[in-house]
Amino acid sequence: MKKVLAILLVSLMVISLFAGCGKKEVDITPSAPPAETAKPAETTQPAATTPAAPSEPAKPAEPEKPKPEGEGTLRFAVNADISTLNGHMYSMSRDGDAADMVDIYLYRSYIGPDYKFQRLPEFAADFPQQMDDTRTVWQIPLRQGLTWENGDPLNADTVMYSYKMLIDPKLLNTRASYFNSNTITIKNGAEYTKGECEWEDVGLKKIDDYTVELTTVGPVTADEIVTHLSFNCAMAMVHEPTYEAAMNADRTQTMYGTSKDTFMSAGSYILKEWIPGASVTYEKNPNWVFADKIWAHEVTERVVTDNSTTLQMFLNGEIDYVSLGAEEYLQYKEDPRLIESNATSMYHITVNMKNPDNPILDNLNFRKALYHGIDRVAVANIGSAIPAWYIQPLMVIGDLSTGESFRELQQKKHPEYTPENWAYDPALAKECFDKALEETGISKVSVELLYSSDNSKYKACSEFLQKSLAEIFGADRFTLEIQGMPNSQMTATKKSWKDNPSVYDLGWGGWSTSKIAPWNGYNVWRSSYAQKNEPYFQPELDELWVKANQTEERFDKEKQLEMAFEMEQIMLRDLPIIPVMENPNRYLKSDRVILPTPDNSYVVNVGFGWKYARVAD
Amino acid sequence: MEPILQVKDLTVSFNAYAGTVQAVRGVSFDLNPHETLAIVGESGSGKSVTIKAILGILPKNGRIVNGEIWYQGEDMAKYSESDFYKIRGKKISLVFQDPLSALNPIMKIGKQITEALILSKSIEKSKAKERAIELMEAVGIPDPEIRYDQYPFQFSGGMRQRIVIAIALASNPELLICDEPTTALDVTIQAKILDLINEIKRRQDLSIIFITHDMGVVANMADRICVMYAGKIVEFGTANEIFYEPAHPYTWALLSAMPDLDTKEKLFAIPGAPPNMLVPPKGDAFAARNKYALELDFEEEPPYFKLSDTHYAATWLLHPDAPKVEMPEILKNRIARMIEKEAARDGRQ
Amino acid sequence: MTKYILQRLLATVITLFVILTIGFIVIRLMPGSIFEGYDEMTPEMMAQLNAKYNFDKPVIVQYFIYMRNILVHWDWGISLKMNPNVPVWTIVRQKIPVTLYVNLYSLMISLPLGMIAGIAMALKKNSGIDYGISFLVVIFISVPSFVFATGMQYFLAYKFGWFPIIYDVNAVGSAKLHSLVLPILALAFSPIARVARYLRAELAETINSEYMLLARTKGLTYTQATLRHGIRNSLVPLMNIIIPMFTTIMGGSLVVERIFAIPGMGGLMINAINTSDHQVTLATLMFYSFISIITILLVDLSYGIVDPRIRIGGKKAE
Repeated sequence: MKKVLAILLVSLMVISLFAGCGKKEVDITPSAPPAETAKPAETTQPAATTPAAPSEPAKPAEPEKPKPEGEGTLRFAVNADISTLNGHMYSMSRDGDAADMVDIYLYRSYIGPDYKFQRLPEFAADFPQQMDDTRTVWQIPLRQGLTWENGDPLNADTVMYSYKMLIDPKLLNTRASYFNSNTITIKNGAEYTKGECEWEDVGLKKIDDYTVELTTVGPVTADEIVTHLSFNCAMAMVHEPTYEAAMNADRTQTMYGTSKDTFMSAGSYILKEWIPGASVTYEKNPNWVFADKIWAHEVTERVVTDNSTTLQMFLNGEIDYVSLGAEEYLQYKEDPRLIESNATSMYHITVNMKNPDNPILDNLNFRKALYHGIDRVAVANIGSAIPAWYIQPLMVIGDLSTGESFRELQQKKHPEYTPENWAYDPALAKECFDKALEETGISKVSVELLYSSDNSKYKACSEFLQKSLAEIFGADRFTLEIQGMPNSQMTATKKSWKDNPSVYDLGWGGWSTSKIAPWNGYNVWRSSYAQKNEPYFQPELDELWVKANQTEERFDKEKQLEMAFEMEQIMLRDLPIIPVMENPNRYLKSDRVILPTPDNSYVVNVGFGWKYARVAD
Repeated sequence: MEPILQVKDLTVSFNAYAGTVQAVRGVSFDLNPHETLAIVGESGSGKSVTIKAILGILPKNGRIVNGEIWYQGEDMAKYSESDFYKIRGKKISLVFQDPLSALNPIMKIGKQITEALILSKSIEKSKAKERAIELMEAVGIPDPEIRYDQYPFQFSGGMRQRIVIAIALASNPELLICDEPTTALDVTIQAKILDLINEIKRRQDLSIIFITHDMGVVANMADRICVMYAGKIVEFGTANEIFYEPAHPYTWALLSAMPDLDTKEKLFAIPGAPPNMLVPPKGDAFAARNKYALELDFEEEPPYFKLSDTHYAATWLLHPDAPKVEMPEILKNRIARMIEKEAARDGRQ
Repeated sequence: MTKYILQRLLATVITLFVILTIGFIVIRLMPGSIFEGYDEMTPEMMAQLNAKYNFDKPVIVQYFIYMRNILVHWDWGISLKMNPNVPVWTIVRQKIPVTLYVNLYSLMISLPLGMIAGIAMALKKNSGIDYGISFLVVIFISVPSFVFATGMQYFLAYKFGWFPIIYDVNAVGSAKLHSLVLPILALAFSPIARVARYLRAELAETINSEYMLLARTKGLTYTQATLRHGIRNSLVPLMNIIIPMFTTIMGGSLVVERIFAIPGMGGLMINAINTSDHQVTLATLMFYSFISIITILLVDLSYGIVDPRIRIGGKKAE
């Protein structure tokens, strides 16, 4: 009896070894003809930002309007809970998404009439009005008749109170600097927060019940003010009675936004229910300024952190879209429900140039060797990404008035900047490498590349680089070690080069930048930037940045754009980072939901516009 | 008088990993009403197995291969578990050897005494406590009211054994089997317990089977004695016959091994060890350790030779053609002294 | 007995105190400021914030402030990242109920099933049933709970649709239970196996004991004897593993809760550490420590209560 059992157990073990891991069957509906949704062009050089739909995007006569109370329920799954609805101290990007649903802002980005991005005054009645020649005093008229969820009026007092609390010296909100000094600098804002002056000295005044006046330090443009005031959820309005009621005795802390009862909605939707850690429910706000853009009656968001669970829920018809990770994308590549967003960030390799233990990193020719030695198309293929030889990603807008992308404009104005074959030139790479060895007198190079273990594709890409670079430079002279770690740890490691200069050699990194101000994004590579990832100090870049962002020269749009091109060229010349690829995001969208854009395109600063979606009958 | 219990040719074997162990090989005896039958033998002689077989509490790997156990007109050897339910505790009771392990350590003793009664519905729950206290008094436990709610570890060894006896007597059985009840106790307590058993036997007209390896204990208790060795009864007879006229060399050895205050001789011990019952020896099992063994003892098993109507012994020495062998000196002297003492006592009376 | 309890309670308090101290110091010594993620924050602002929350003071001073807050106000601090401005205790309190629900139900089914399995195995020792259940027991102990969770979710919820794929937060009563059946089951397998194994060993021993034999000889049927003497005696040492089970359930199961989107205690500590929310980390650590220590105390006490040899014997010794 015992022997029989032993044999049974052994055979079971052997069988289990052969059992495939194919738990998830591919749930592909019979292949429909290739979808209209064009993916960003992978082979042609000037990659278009907006997928070129052959037919006219604008649909003729669409007089249909949504019902005031909306119709249908949109059901989403999110991978994290809201940390707080108080934009003054939001800590996660998820908070911004929630705020976008229920808050009201002075200005905000929308999907424009031609389905491109457009900025409109929301609470404001009109764009900022220049009041004098110094271009430092601006007035913002406010719409009349707008109310909070409970009927309380929205007026100038709301604006004054919201920003007064945001930069209050006792509350010390973590996001105060977004008002004080971001795209523009408000007069005495930072000083007030430091407690060095009175509220009356701050450059924000109430003129009358529906007009406020801003005073800035240094001249600005109306566009910049709009950018500043629509930057993130810290700039949203807060409801004074609720905020006050939730304040503690010595006014150092408020519980505003920590639950449904301590919050008041005024935006596109009203917060109906918030079960912490579990779900959020919104209901259409029929009194919203642009209520005609909202079709759904209700939106439910369920917090599900596990991606395979979310996918199951989608395939089961319980939620209306799901984001696809690298492996899932490969499975569902041909699925007609696939939609793709342009990358919102660049993925590159940061170089710790001043690493005392590895002086080769400081050598420009070595970095050029890396730049030209990376086969971007191959790496991007492994990572299901888009190869990128440049700094500013495809989605960045170069000209707000025409909506043309930075890359399109670069191709138009400076086609000479564009390298061949995504800058992949193994012969040139080897040449640079040889020169580097000569110049430094080093005979054998060994560098370590950190990658994020949170996503398996980075490991695959790193391994590819490990092999391919060794092939090009010669395995006897060049070794690339790779080291995986959780993303948060990798970020912390890279940033600690200040205290520990040799803490890393190379590390993958992402860079997310302003989509509408390409000249601004280089901020993170300025010498003065506090949270630098790498020891790169280039006064040329610093000067150009200040010129393009803070001096009067920026008022000339052409010049500003030129400076942006120049800064990119400086980066590509000095190579403190090696650009590699852009990571688009992929999703499966259920047929039950119709997105506001006809080709399911991803609009800058807005996204797919899920909240404007419509439930198909 | 009809015997109350008749065991005929009982054979019990165990299935061990090594093979089949023949623990009891054809044992037969009768128990007469109101008598105490002692079964004496070494450890491993098969005494406990015999009574376990009678009560049907053999371990799982033991079985009755052959034989009959007649009680109240039925053959208990053929009983199923449910049949035994009528017998155990109600008709035949067992007193265990080690009271400490025989009692449930975390159950109050009062409950342990009345449990069987209540479960078999022989008594109402309300009357049960009364009965238990009655029993405790009968076995000589002081302060029974208080002691009723106590746990076994709160009693001394002697007291615990009294409890076990009380449990055995709870349902008023007619046959009491005592399996070495005093072996685990101090010598001083031993005597008390033995007296108790005798007293109870008198009061309640019990019939008793008494298992022991100690001939000294047997002397006070037994009416008749069976001597067992290696799964067989080698000699049986009345107490007087066995003590004063032992016939089997094994009996001689047992009697000689009793410690005796009155002699200056070295303490006698039986050399050797009991045989391995996996492979029982041919012939007389005791032959290997028997200094009086004949060649025939190694060849063939001796049958029972009659010494009197009540006294039989299975030894070739009793064969008419066997050489005359006298019992050892020690024994002779001892027996002589015993007779003297008896006479003296009788004289005084 | 009272003296014993008092001694143990004192030891408990001291242990918790030591844990708190060490935890506090270790966490405070971790490099990096909690405000590092805020890219736009000016250095002056960061200095002001550090002053506001006392992060700029020496560790010892911070420690005393922290202890004083706990002892005098029962104030465990507020979360700064996970749910800014929300008191830590509120966060913990919110997450306990559903974890408790899942794990109590899990325990409620695993104990009886485990006991039945254990008893079956012991009574039918070395038979087909014994081997069969033992085999299952080995599987349940070795295979991690999340494997069962994922498997059940895929087959029973997604493929067959018998249960919801995730926990339904809005449900009450039987609908709530229905949506939690899968995680409850997933968490029950391991305890079932442990209880079964333990009970089998205990029971196998007690069945062979003398008092079992005496029970049968005095007239109890095999069933009665097994139930009243065998099983009853085996349950006493079972306290040893059941009480710790009660308290491990408070910790929730990180992975199972994640898979079924249950907003419970499971992920709290990990999330707190990942977001560098030290107050929450420390408070959660103390919570778990407290429970563990209470567990140990309860186990010791339970023996004293349940086993009369210790309970009364202890008295005699005084």
